[in-house]
Amino acid sequence: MNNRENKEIVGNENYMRKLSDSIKNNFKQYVVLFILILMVVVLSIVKPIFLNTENVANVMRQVSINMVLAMGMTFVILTGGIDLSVGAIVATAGIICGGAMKMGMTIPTAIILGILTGVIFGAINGIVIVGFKLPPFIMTMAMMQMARGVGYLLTNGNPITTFPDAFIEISKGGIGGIIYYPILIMTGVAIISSVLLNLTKWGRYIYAVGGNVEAARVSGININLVTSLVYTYSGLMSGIAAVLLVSRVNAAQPQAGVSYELDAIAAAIIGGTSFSGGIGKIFGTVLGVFLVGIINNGLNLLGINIYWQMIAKGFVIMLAVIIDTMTNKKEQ
Amino acid sequence: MADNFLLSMTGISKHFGGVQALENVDFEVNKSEIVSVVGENGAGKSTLMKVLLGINHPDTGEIVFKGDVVKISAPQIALDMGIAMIHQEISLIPDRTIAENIWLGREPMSFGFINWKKLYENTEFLFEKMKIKLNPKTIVRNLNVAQMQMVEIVRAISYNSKIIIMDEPTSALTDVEVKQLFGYIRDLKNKGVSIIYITHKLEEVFEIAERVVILRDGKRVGSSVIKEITKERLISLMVGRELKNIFPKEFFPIGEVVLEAKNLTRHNVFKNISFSVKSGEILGIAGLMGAGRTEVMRALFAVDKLDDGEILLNGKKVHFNTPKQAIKKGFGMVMEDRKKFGLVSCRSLMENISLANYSRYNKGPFIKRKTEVKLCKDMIEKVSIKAYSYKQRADSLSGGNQQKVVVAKWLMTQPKVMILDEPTRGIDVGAKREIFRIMTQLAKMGMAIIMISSELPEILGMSDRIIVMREGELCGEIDRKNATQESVMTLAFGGKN
Amino acid sequence: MKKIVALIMGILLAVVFFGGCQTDTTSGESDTQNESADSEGTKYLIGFAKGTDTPWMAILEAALVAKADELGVELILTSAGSHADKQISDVESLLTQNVDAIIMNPIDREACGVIVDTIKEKGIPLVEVNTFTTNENYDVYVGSPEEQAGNLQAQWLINNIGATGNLCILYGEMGSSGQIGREAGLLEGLGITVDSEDTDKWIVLAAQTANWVRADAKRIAEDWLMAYGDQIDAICAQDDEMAMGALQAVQEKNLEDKIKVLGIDGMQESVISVGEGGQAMTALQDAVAQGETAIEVAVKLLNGEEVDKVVDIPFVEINETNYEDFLE
Repeated sequence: MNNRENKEIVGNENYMRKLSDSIKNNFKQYVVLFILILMVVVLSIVKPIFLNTENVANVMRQVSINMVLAMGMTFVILTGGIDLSVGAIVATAGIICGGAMKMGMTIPTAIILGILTGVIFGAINGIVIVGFKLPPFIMTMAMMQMARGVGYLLTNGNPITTFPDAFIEISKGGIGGIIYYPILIMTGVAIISSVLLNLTKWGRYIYAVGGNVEAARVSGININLVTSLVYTYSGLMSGIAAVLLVSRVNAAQPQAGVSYELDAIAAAIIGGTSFSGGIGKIFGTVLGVFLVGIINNGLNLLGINIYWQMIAKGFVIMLAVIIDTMTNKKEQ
Repeated sequence: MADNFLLSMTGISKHFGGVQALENVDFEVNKSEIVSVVGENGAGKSTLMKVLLGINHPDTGEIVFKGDVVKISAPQIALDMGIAMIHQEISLIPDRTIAENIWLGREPMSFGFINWKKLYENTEFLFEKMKIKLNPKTIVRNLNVAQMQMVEIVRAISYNSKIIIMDEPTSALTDVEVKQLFGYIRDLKNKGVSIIYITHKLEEVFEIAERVVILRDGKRVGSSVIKEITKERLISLMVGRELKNIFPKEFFPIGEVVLEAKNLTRHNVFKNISFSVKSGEILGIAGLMGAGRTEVMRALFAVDKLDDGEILLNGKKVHFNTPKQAIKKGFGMVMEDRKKFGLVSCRSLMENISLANYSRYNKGPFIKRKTEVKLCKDMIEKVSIKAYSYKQRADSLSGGNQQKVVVAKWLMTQPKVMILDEPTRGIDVGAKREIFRIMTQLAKMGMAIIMISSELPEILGMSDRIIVMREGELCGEIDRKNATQESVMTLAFGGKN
Repeated sequence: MKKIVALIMGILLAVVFFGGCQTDTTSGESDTQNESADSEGTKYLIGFAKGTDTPWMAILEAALVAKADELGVELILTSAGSHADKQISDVESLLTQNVDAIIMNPIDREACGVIVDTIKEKGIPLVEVNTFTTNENYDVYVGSPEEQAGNLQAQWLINNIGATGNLCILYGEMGSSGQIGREAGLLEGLGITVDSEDTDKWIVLAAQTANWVRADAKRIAEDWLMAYGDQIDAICAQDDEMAMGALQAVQEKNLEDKIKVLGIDGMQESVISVGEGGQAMTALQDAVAQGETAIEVAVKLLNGEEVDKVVDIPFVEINETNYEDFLE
């Protein structure tokens, strides 16, 4: 009798604890989701056009490049690293893609070359970081310079413009005129990233390396392989983003993509990815990307000065990090 | 007579959580005296010194220094009073000069700038007084370890210290350097400074100390002028406690040799370590802290590089470059530092348990989630981890349950050889018992188990056979039947068996 | 430790090597008409401190290098990548290399003023090209008056659309002389301010900065089209890069007949677009003329000749009537 009572209480307690634990673990994501919903509600009241299908499609298309980059960045930050070379790789991969088309190669070949460029730069990042034990911050900062240098070298600073209509269609076209291809691409990339993180060994290893690299090593994980693949993945994402960007602006330019890495980092951090690694979800990053995108779009619709947009973005990042440190402190 | 002492501590007690670290301890130092404090690991030596230095605050007790009752609430106060400590690890800044290191933070200033001339003059003055022949402008990095110790001592003296505490000052020194150091210590004594000398090396106690104070389990169990005590008496005072039978040890026939290590060597860390473990056997490795036990096991598990020696598994020679290879061949290792090497504390229980097993249960790149959950739930039950969900974050568990998670991870790899390094550190008595129960079960199933422990009763209670290490070398092997606290400790302290 | 030293040495070597390559020393061969050579037969050494790395600036630089070659002047090129502090140190390093004169394309009106005094303390001529500093101690400014470019846009609006209308402005980098001057010229030409609500004149619906970046301009234009739709009569971009971005947004909504996009700079892509009836107009800042004139002026100053404080290279309007003259 006594025993059964006990069990029930324990069961109840367990349920409550599960709930509170789940809220605690995903606290940041809930906060971001809350802010996101709040913004959508406020914006749609103040500016009803905000919820217009066309505007929603617009926002989705606008965030697609950052979404793709932020996926790669999330992987990198989950291992406790950082990739500052993203923007520069986007520029140079775009130039390779655009240049290939100008040289008369077919569009698929050009796209593959562009993406491959990103993969190669990313792989170099990974191999050097692992091989020479360089801090990722330093290596990717160096790569930021080198990749952009290559871009300028290839173009002499001049843009490559006017591509075939079929290529422009990648960003312009879509199903039913509203589900644009970039939206499909970013959705696909997000789903693949999520599957990789949650359902593959590599994904688990990424979390383990970011959470405790020594424990991962003694548990028999090839931490060098895991880490270098993560930077390669970020390079792959840069390559895909490059194709989207070149198609969107109908130009491949060496000065393109400046500070894209910062937007990607911001999205990942706002989405609850811990800067020290080990914690974070793709879903959170998706929320982060949309939050930044909606801040930009909403303030533009309201005709608010771009400086306020910068302040708003900075404020949200700060808020996200404050929540991060506060929840971590509680656990300790 | 008590008022003749330079320092006397009376009735000092201190507890951490449920552990009584010090219990009613008295301790006293005369002027110009070299007094040694000895005791096993965890006997309370460092806690006592930390109380004296103001790092820990005693629950009860009184400290009288130069005839006045004092309250030492912070290390700075101890330093100002003239009590300085030289730590085991060198704490100098390697790329600065000797003089800069000595006066760090209290450089002589004029007009808001460092007066370099005075800085060097002051140092030279101290060196002259101490008869040390070193150039104050030498960069510390270029000194040998004994010279660095010297600089640490000079720094301590520069505070006009009356008492200098030295914690294992010779652990990194060569024989010649030790002689040099002892010379300096005697000079200091002749200049009226008192030394509290803490060491595991009993021969040093007999060489340098004038008096010895023995601690055991947080209590003072004896004190003697050094001339009136023998080494044997000293050891028996240190270990003389009763064994309580908390160990669920079972006896069953032991099988074939599983692992044989021959002449394992890692330069300057350990050398010529040979041992073997049989199926179903628990091999205990005893020794003092820093004896090199952990290092041998780390090298065996390929976490660190092995310079020489060979490893035979079931009679076949094996060689590992990475822990991954070791795991594949059937090794598992619960590391000493759970936070650093054991847990990914921000991830779930399940991910931690599965971490070493993904390749084993998943052939392709994808994870079979259902299998993973099932295996983990089985394992959680098997080692009875108290958690409400396998999704719970590892750092939300108690220390004992965290340790069980690490054990579970390795159990799942179904190892032939399981290495447990300090498996019960920092966990409560109940959890300890459960860890021992698991160990017994594993042995019964035919696993070969190696256990490192600094707690002698554990070693004696659980091991079928005990090997003892000292200063990077194997110094003896004792069968369970012949093992007593005294016999193990004698070996560990470098006495004759 | 050794490894680190080796690494640092390697980097230093690489810097020296590539730096050496960048120091584009162009020589005038044994040209007898070489006016720039002084009595002892040594060539002038002139430093060009470039501020930004835009495609347009690349054309200016190429023209400047070609002209220097022609005049037998030795050049040292530096590039600040849009960082004012980098430009300050660039100029300092030029000075330590004992250049005879400096041509600078200042990034920031205010911040780069510091350099002007540093250079003048050395007593060597300073020519500012394309952009200028508020510190007027430079010798000559060679450039196109930014106000005039804005003014050309204003004239086009009034002549082609009418005296009233709704306008959006895409700014370049805020605080740059181009952004300030072009805005002033545009608003002055229309006789309005950004906030004025006089329905008898043009009204500014929205103004944002896209920092001279095409992708940003496209995004902002998309949002404007959402918010204001075909209320907008024209989008005035302060350069052609941003104009191209805005034009793409307009074209994707099939509003190019309703909304006119105006640019500045005479970028080739825009000239072609003008011909195809895409972009409405652009104004050519003559990069070649600016680059060539800058080096010519510097040599004149070194030869002791008098030069006016401001040398204007006027903007030329490019529209559907004359675009063919500007196609390359």
